[in-house]
This record gives sequence, structure tokens and C-alpha cells, in this order.
Amino acid sequence: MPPVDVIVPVYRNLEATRRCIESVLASSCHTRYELVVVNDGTPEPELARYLRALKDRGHATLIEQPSRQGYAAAVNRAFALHRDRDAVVLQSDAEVANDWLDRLAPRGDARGVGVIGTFTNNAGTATYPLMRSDNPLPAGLTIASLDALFARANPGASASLPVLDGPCLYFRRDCLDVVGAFDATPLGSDYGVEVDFCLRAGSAGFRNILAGDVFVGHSGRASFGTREGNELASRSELALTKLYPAYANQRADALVRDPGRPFARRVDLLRLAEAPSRPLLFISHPWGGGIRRHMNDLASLVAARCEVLYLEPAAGDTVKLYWPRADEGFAVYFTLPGELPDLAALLRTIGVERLHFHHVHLLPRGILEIPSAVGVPYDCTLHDYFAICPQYHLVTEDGQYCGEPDATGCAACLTRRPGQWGLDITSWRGAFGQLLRGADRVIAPSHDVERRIKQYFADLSIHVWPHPEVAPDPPPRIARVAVLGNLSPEKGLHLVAACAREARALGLPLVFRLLGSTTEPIPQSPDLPLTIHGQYIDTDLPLLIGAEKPDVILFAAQVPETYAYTLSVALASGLPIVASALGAFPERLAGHPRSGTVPWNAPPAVWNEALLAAAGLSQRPAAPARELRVEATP
Amino acid sequence: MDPGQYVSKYLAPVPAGSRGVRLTSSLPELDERHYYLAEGHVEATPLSLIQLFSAGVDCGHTEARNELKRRVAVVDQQLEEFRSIRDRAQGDREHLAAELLAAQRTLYTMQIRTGNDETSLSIARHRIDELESSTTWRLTAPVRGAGHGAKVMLAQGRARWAAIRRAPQFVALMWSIVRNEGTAAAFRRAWAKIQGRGRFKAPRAAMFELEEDVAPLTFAPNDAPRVSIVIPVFGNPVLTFTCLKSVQAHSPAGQFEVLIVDDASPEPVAEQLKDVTGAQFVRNAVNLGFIGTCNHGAALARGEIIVFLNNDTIVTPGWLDAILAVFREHPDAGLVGAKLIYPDGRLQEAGGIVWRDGSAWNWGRNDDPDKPEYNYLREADYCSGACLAVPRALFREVGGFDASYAPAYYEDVDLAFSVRAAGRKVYYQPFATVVHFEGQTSGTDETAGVKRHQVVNQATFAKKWGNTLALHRANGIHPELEHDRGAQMRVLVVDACMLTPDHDAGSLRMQAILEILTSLRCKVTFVADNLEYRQPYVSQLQQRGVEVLFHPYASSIAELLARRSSEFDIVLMSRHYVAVKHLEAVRSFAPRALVVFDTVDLHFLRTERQAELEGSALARAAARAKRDEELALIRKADVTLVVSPYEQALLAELVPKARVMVLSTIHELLPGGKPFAEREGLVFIGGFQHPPNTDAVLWYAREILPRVREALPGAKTYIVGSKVPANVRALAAEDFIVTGYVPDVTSYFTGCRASIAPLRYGAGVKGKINLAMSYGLPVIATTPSIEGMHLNPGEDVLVGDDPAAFAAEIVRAYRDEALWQKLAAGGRDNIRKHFSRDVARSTITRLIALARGNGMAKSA
Repeated sequence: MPPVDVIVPVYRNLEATRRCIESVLASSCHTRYELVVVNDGTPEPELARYLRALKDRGHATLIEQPSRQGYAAAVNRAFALHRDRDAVVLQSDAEVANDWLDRLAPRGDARGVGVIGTFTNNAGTATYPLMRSDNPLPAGLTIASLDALFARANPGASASLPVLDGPCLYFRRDCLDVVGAFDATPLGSDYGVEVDFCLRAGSAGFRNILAGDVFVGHSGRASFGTREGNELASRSELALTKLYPAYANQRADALVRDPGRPFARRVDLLRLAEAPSRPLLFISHPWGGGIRRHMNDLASLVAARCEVLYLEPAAGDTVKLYWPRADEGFAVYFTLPGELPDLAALLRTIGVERLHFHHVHLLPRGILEIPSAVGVPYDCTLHDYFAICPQYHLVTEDGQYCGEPDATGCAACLTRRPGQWGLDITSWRGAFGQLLRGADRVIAPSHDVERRIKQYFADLSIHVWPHPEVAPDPPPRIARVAVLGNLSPEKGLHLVAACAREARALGLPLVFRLLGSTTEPIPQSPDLPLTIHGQYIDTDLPLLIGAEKPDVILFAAQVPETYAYTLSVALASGLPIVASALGAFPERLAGHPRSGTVPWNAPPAVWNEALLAAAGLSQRPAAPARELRVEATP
Repeated sequence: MDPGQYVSKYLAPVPAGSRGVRLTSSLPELDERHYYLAEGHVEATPLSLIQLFSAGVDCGHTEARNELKRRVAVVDQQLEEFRSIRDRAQGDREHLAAELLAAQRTLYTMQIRTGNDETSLSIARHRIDELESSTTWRLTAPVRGAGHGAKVMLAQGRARWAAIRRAPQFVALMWSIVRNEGTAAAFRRAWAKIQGRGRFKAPRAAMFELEEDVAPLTFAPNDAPRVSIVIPVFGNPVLTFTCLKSVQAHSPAGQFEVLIVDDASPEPVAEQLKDVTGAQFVRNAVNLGFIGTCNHGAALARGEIIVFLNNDTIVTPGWLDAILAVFREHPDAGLVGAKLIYPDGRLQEAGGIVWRDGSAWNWGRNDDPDKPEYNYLREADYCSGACLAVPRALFREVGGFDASYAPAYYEDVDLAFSVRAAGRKVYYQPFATVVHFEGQTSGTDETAGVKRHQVVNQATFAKKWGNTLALHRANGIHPELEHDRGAQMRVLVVDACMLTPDHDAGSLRMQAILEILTSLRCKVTFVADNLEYRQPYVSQLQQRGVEVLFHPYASSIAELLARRSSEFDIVLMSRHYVAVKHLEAVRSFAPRALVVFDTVDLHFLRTERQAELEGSALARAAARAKRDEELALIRKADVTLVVSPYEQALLAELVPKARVMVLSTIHELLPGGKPFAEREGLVFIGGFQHPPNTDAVLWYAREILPRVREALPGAKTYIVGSKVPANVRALAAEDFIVTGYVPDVTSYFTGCRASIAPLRYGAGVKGKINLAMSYGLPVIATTPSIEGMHLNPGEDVLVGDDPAAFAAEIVRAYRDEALWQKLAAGGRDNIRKHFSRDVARSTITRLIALARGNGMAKSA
């Protein structure tokens, strides 16, 4: 069999290129290959020197383009070098490991295969851990160790895809013979030439497959400028949809079917099964609120010791087991009760240490069987009164506290409003009594919960552990700055936003409250210490000021005001006022005891200082307001 | 609880330290289905936008608000995509429509080519049909006898329906008549159709042949001829005799003299034609050639107009009248040529085109002479000397045929250019048809000799008129434009039906518009949406210089647009149901043209008012739909024409961006007639195809007439107008005369004392009111009928909106002469100020200016 050409087109970035080429040279492949580097007219002399040195040392064949011809042209030159060989196109910022080519190349013998792709961490059809994302490498893993995991999890496995894209693509020669080379012309740029090739190969009858057992690292789109790149990429995407009318559907279908997903999940399972300590499993409903906060707090508290998996309802009787870390993609689905044994077997395989019930709302009834199926101890935290009543807040239809009637009352309530799983009150409490009694620990965050639950399960021993939290800080003293009216740029909208930005950046004790509306959107809470009350009726303004209790009222007009009715209301409030030293403000403020003016074009810092001073919160020794009156510099 | 404390309690049962296991056995094979949520399940059903709005904006949830913002952006983007998909689809549709039309054109051409075969085929088919139907008839005879006539009716009905389905064009035509004129009219027209009216029939191709031999022929002697027909002759007496015989047969006796100029034929012509009397024979002493011979004849001519006629021609009926009509109607006419055809009926020349290099074309040579493009009066570069009319004084003024072209060729072209240089025009008159045996004047030998002069003379000619010719196109480029060289604008006008100006005010207005357009040097092409050929109206328009298209020379408006629209600068579509059909096609085929929508009257105003009167929800809904349709048209058109400022103001409100111009009905002031005292009676004029007129007459007869009878016993009311419905006719009485269609309505306006317009709805300017006022006849009207007509009740019109008031105003006008005089003068003033031709001309001038700007903007 002829050797395989490993083609690396190079344009920029010596560091990445060096890593890429050294990873190829260092790999432990038995497959014969020839490293073909194409210098696409790099403007970096050091890079050019490095490539020439490679050639001189006999590590690589070097093709030098006299000037930049672009990615597609560079690859095409290399494709043409040996017309009897398969070729791998490896991006210059990719990194291979182990015996990568030995795993990739044999697939070339499969009948009808055109292009073969691999997993990578970012950019391309198949990324890990999250699909189609820019993933960092998972903590504790290297490219080599991750590649080894792929090799173990999915040996020899592959899946068909309509198109492939990524830092490492293997092209079969018989496909190149039929389909030709890369063609950037119809796309307008080099973006998407691989996709175009795959689509042409597809229509010529070739299959494009993703190898499940090879992972290639990728540090990013180093070869192209990114901002301009996005534009080119979307333009070529548009061209592709026009060239291949079926492509849009194929792509949408591939997104839904996601044929590469099982490969990634098997790697996840391997990582979970081989994690240093056994994971915990939290069971809950899928909603946010206090329960979810507690779960997340607890999960991060134990993170140093072990991983935590979540189990929650997905749809109907199907539950979802997943890894709640934002950078992990692991998720599997089981329909209960039929697939409970599979779920239990999986949990045993990855060695779940303990289960922890936080809630079972919306979960199928079979969830109660999971501890016995897995055979590990479990805890229960009582976040509400679900254990004694399906109306877990103990409320009537009207939303009022029901007063916890006797069994007859509860039965009548449940007849009117059947609860989850359709159980009567006796069976409900029986089932939950069994669950709680079988628990290793039952935890309640307060004695009140303990007391109420114990009214029904007197024999239960409950640990009263208030939720773990650091005592919240006392609220700081903050000056509340009110701005009145419909705020436009002329009336200082941008200035107020700038003051709020400055206050946030410097941590000044200032919040801005716009009593009224704005003419255009500006960032507000939680991004900035600024909230918008919204439109008010003019006559309600005094009332509003009374209710809002601002510490200071700000008039930030950037144009000379002729009068300003809102100023009259502000003056009547007796509150401190800070205004621009422009238009009618100075004369109307004359004699108002607690006012100051600021040059209209003063920087936000000056305004904020004036506001703090007026509110009596100045960090600097208070300066008399008069001194702030500086004539505006035009 | 303190987090540290909590976690240590919590993790107490969990063994510390690494489990240090590496999976020795491989993972259990988990079925792949567990990696996917089963089909049909969506992990989180997306909330609707309104739910997100409610949660995010009404209830203040930040996440919902952010999600809303994201989703709205997505929706906006999708909307944009859908719009572009829609636009693309629209583009594709137009492209397909164009392709379809092109295919139809090809098909049409092929049909013409195979036409002859088809005719014989269809005759055969017809025979078969006849046979078959008679068999059916015979077969069903017993059934008929058994009283199952209905079945037969059904069978016959089916057969008829099949016939209609085979003729979709006919159905479309009828539908457009129904819409425009009502079902009764459609019936009448269908009847006319069966009789063969309203449809162009090619005249049977007459073969023209020479007379057998010279026979006796007498021309009436004429001492003061208006026309001198000069016939240059060289030998060939039978040819000359054939010509003379046709002249004698088809020219108005007493109007002309005939001068036969013998160009020194070997045997004297006077001898050969000695049986011909009453014509004057002249003989050149030596052979002078064509030019010298003609000039010789002209010198002897006594008529005011000289017609040079080759002796190898046959004139046809009406030829001379048609030529003289041009001089009568167009004082600027300096030269008039005829339509020349070959003896086998093919066209030889419909006016000539001269190219930049001086070469000349016979426009239309060998084509079908009945084609619309050869049959309207127009200016031509020149007309062939075979038949050429010129005022004697002018001929002398320009020095006759230029002798430098002797013996022949280019003298006729040169004469045309000289006439134009003298400030007169050269007209091609298609209604004067002359058969020309081309090339038979001179002997064969001479022909070869003379043809040599063609090359030489072209050079002479091109040199002499070089400055003028520089403005002509190079040889063969756009003859379809060059043959109407004088046109400063080319205008296509599409109206619903053929104009019938003696029947309705709408036609009268459109005819005036066409006249003004032609007077402003526009070439006007008119086509009725139903493609009908209705005489004498088609000829009347053609004589006014309007090209009129009709079936079968246009097979549909769309086909016409596809074929010719590129030449038009303005496309004017009259009436909304015409415009709505063609506007898209006009836009795609004539992207350069200024598209003008002539509302005639805003239809939706009328239907809305009618719906109000009827009070039916259905009628209101229909009116609303009509309104939307009409306003959409107005938005799409470049210019919209309305007939009153009232409508203009209304549109300014409804469609502020539209350019709307007032082009009202056009009236001339007419002589008044009898004095007040001699006048008698009231007149109502209006066609009954227009529903508001029927309503008005019924209302008048039932509610107003009784009161008028009381106050003015014996005063007659004349109801003048065509297409009278039965319920109006039924009301006729001694003092309520329903006349039906009257060809000349003058006597009613010059003899009646007042005119009435009791219209309760309707929109637009009322022709009936203006017509009366142009005669100085006072008008009693209702408020809706004077809307937008600049009238002031009491000054130039009297108005009554309920029966009592209307009757009272009639009585007032009828009795008070001072008031009568005031109203008569006021009405005439109003016509002069707002409805005269000058007002219309200035509007149309602005339209042309717009089109010029439009063309420049669009081609830039």
C-alpha cells in the first residue's frame, strides 16, 4: 500500500505550526506516511525558516507558494503531488497524538468511503465534550489522554455524515480522482471548501464518515482572521445552500440525528467510571428556585471530593441523567419503569456512591424504586411537604394555607385535585413513609419542617441542617440618585449611563433610578446600578419622589434648558439637586440650599463626586457646593 | 449552616480518598437510543412570545426578558428571510410568466404558419360535427316523443358549453363586457358576435387583373377641377386603360380632371386610347423620363391639388376622398401618399423609411396590409411616387420634382424632404389603397438602365439632405420606431372596450385624450382589453392617427406587452378592472415606461355608496374589497388620473405617496340654441349600462315627477340614453318620454329648458352635467352628482337633495328667466375654466414631461 500524504498547509503562527508538526512527527504510527508542508507564502520569516529547516532535516516535503494563494489552492497543490496516495489534510493549528493515523487509515479500505473526519475540541462537525462548540480540553486531560479515551471507548466505530469539517480530514484517492480537488470559486472564499467537497463526493456516491476513535486537538482558527472570517463563512454557507438545494435539509437533519453523539457519550462514561472518586446522584424536578440553588451549592461544595450527576424528568415518563457541569455534554435518557434496570446498571458501572432525593415532582413513580435497583444508600432532603401531601405547599385551591386537616379532609382535597401518580392520601403517605424510612439520612433545613413531617411520620429521625451558606453581607449605605422625566441623549441619557458605568467600575455607593422612561435602550440592572421606573403621570411625580426617597435628584441636560417643569417638582421636594451649569438651571437653583451645578461637559467622575457630595457620602472632604460651579469649557 | 461544617457532616459517610480503579472490563454496551430523547419529545417546549412578554415585561423576569429579546431577533430575522424568499418567488414567477409568453408567441407564429392546414382541418371537423349532431338528433327523436325534452336540452347544453370552453377568449371578452356594461349588453354583443359584428374579418383577398383590352371610357368634362390627376405614360395602353377605368369608377365625379402625359411613346398614346374621352392627352416632344413627364403634366394642371398616379396602378373605392380628407383635416399636409399593394393583395408600401445613408425602405413590403401597424394615418419619411398628392402651389414653390435626379429614382424621396423643408408634412393615408404593378411603367431595357441611376441618385440625395439624415438611424435599425419618426413619446392606451364616443361620456373623454396626445406629437397605440374590432370606431381612431390593435393581430394584452412593450414610454390603463389585470405584466415588460392608471371614476366610491343605499353587509364587504384593490393599484402606478379634485383630495389622504393628477372630462363650448321663451321640457341624458342612471331615473319618475306635474302641468321630461331597462321603459307616459339611443342629441339641449341630474350615488365628474352646460343649458342636480365639479349652487347650478327640494328647483329654473340666464352663463364659464381642452392639454403635457423624466431616471 502506498504511503499516506499528511498535508499541512501553513500560513501563519509559528508556535501552533511547530506544535502541529512535532505532534505528527512524534506520533507512534506504523502506517507509512509522508509529511507534506505547504508554505502558502507566509509573511513570517521565522515560520518560513522553520519550514525550510524541516525540509532540510528530511522531516517533511515542502511546497512553497511564491505568494499567498489561499488554503484551497495550497491543499490542491499538495493533492497533486502524489496521484496514487490517500491524503490527510491537517490544519497547522491541529495536534495529533498516539497512533492516530493507524486508527484513521484502515477505514480507507471500507467500500465507498470518500472523506473521513475525526473528533476535535473546537471547530468542525464533531467536537467534544460539547457538540459544535469551542471546547477547552476537559480538566485533567491532555490531547493524548483524551485521544486514548476515544480509542478505548469506540474502537473501530464510525458513523456516516452528509458533510465533514474539522482540523483533520482524510481523503481517499479514488474519491479525489472522481470528485477533483477543492473548489473555492463558487463559495467566494476558502471557507466551506471541505463541505463543498463532501457534498460533491456525496453526489458522486461516496460516503463521508466520522471516526469515533480518533481525537485531534485544535487550538482555533489560527490560519484565518476571525472577524472577517465569520462573514466569509456565512457567505459561503449561503452559497452552499444555493448550490446544493438539499444541503440545508441534510444539515438540519444531521443536527437532530447527531450521529456522532454516542461516541462522545461513551467517552463521557469512561471518564465518569474512571474518575478518582465515585460520583453522587441528585434527584429532583427540573425547575429552578431554592431547591436548585441548594443542589448547585452542595454540588460545588463537594466538587473537590467527587462529581455529582443530576437526574430529572425529561418528558413524560422519561428521565434524564446528566452531568450538570456547564462544560460537559453527558446526558442519557431512560423511560421508567421499563428501563429502570438499564439505568441502575449504568449507575452501578460508573460507581455511584450515594443517591440523594431532593424532589420527585414530575418524575415517574418508578423513581422510588431506584435505590433498591442500584443498591446504594440514599439521603432525602425535605425541601417542602411533598412527602405528606401532593399539594406540596399545603395550600387550598385558592392558594391559602390549608391548615393541615385530618385524613378525611386531605382525602376530600385530593378527590377534588388528584395529585401526582393518582394516589389517594393514604397510599401517598405510605409510599413516602417507606422512602423516608429507608433513607440513610433525612435532612430538613428547619425545625418547623421536622415538626410538621413528624406529625405524620412520628418514628422518623430527621437531621435538622440549615442550608449551607455564608452569612450575607449587610446592605451598604448607597446614595439613590433620581433622574426625572423622559430621558433623551439631549437630557443627558448617555451621561447618566456613563456615570452608572463609572460607579460600577469604581464600586462607588451610587445607584441611579430613572423615574420615567428613556428614548433609547441603555444597559441597566444587573449590568449597571441603574433601573428604570418607566413612564409616570405628571401629577404623580411628587408622590413618586416621596415613595422612592432619593438621596439626590440629578438634572444632566446636555443642552440649555429653557425652564424644566420637573425641576419645580424637585425644588419643592427639598431634596439635594445636582444639575448641569447650563440653561435655566443655575438661575432657577439660585437660593436652593442643597444644590450644586456641574459643567455640562464634565467627565462622569466629576458628576459622581458631586452626587456623592450632595448625598453626604463623599469620600473626599465635603467641598462647598459653590466651588463646583465652574464655567463650561466649550 | 456554615458550609464547611455542612459539607463535612454531609460527606461523613462517603469514603475519603481515590478509588484508584481503572475500568478493567469495558463499559456495558448501552443501547444508542439512550443518548437521544425519544422522537417527538422536545426537551423544553419553547414558550410563546406572548408568554415571554408576559413573564419578562409584565412580571419582570430578567431571563424571560432576555429570552424574549433573543427570540424576537430570531423572528425578525426569519421574517426578513421569508420576505426575501417571497421576493425570490415573485421574481421566479415573473421569469416563468415571461417564458410562458415567449412560448405562446412561438406557438402563435406556428399557428399562423399552420393556419392553412388548420382551416381545412376545421372544415372537415365541422362537417363531422354536423353529421354527428344530426345523428344524435335522430337518435333522440323517440325520447323527445316520450316527453324527455329536458335530457335533450341537457345534451345540447353540454355541447354548447363545450363550444364555449373551446373558446376561452370569447368567454373572457364576454366577461369583460358583463363587468363593464351589464348582462343585457353582453347578450346584445353576443348576438352581434353571432352575426359577425365587432370582429375583424380579413377582406377576401381581391386579385387585381388587367383589363382584357381597351374599351370605350368617358370622363365627365370639368372646367374647374379641384384635383388634377397626372398620369405619365410610356406605351402599354392596356395597362393605362386599366388604371383609367379604376379612376373613373372610384373617384368623385366633377371633382377632378385627368391629364395623360405621353413621354414620347413610339406609338402616340392618344391614338391607342382614342376610345377614352373626357381625359386630356399631352405628349412630350422628346422622351423626358419620369421626372420631366410629371413636371410637364404639373405645369398644365388646373386643380388646387395635383395627384401623380403611375399608369401601372389600379385605384380602389374611396381613394381620392381619403386623400382629400387629409388635406382638409390637416392644414399642414404638404404631401399625401397612398397604401400601395401588389395585385395579389400583399402590401407593397405603407409609407417609406429613409435611413441615415439615404437608402430607402418600403415599410411593410410583402406583409399583410390589414395589420394594425399599417392602418393609421401618420407622417412618413416619404411616399412612393406611384401615387402622390401635393398642392399645386406647394409643388411649384419647391420647384417640382428635382431634375437633377433625371431620368428617375429618388425624385419622390427628395420631394418629400423638400416639402418638409418648406414647413409642411408628409402623410401616409392607409385608407387610400392603390394597387401597383411595380416596375411595369418602363420597358425592361430601360428598367435596367434606370436602376443604374438608383446608386448615383442615392449619393446625390444623401449629400443634399445630409444634415437632416444625420438624425435618422442607420440602415435597418429599429424600423418599427423609425416609421414613426416624428413621435416624441410612444403611448400605449388600454381601455376596457372599443371607444364609442357617440354612446358614452367615458369614450368621449378618452377620445379627446387620444386626440390631445397625438396633437402633442405622441404616437398613440390603443387597444381594447377585449381586443374587439368595432366599426366605424376603429377607422375613426385610425383616421385620427391612432394605431388600433385588435384580434387577431393581438392575441392577448399580455402577448402584446411581451412583443412590443419595450417601445412604449407611457402605458395608460383605463379603469381599475383593466389595470388590475395588466399592471404586473406592464411593470415587467415595460420597466422603463411611466405607468398611468386612469381611474375614470373611483369605482370604490360608487360601490361604497351603492352599498350604503342597499344596506347589505355583503355589498359592503364587496365595496371594501374593491377599495383595497383600487388603492393597491394606485400605490403601484406611477401616476393616477382622476376626474375631479374631490377624488384627488381623497386619494391624497388615503394614499399620500401616490402621484395623482386631475384629468377631467373634456368639453367644447357649443352654440346655445333657442331663446328661453321658446324652450320647453326637461332632459335627462345617460346610458343605462351605468347603474346610478337607472336609479336616478326611477327615483325621479316615482318621487319627483308627480310634484313637477303638479307645478308645471304639461311640461315634458325626455329620458335620452341607450340600453333602457324594462322597468324604466314601463314608466313612459305622455309627459315622460323614453327615447332610447339617439344618434344626435343636440336638439334636446338646444330646445329643452332645463337638464336634470337626479343621481343619488356615483362618483366622478358627470358628463351629463357638463354636456348640458357646454350648451348653456341650466342643470338641476343633487349634491353627489356635482361633487368635484367646481359648481356653486345658485350660481351655475341648482341643487335639491330630497324630492320636494329637487322639484322646487326645477320649477324655479323653469319659470325665472333671469335665473335661467345666470345659470346658463355660469355653466358655460365653469366648462371653460375646468373642463376645456386647454385644461386637459396642460395636464397631459405634464404627464409627458414626467414620462421623459421617468425614462431618463430609469435608464440612468
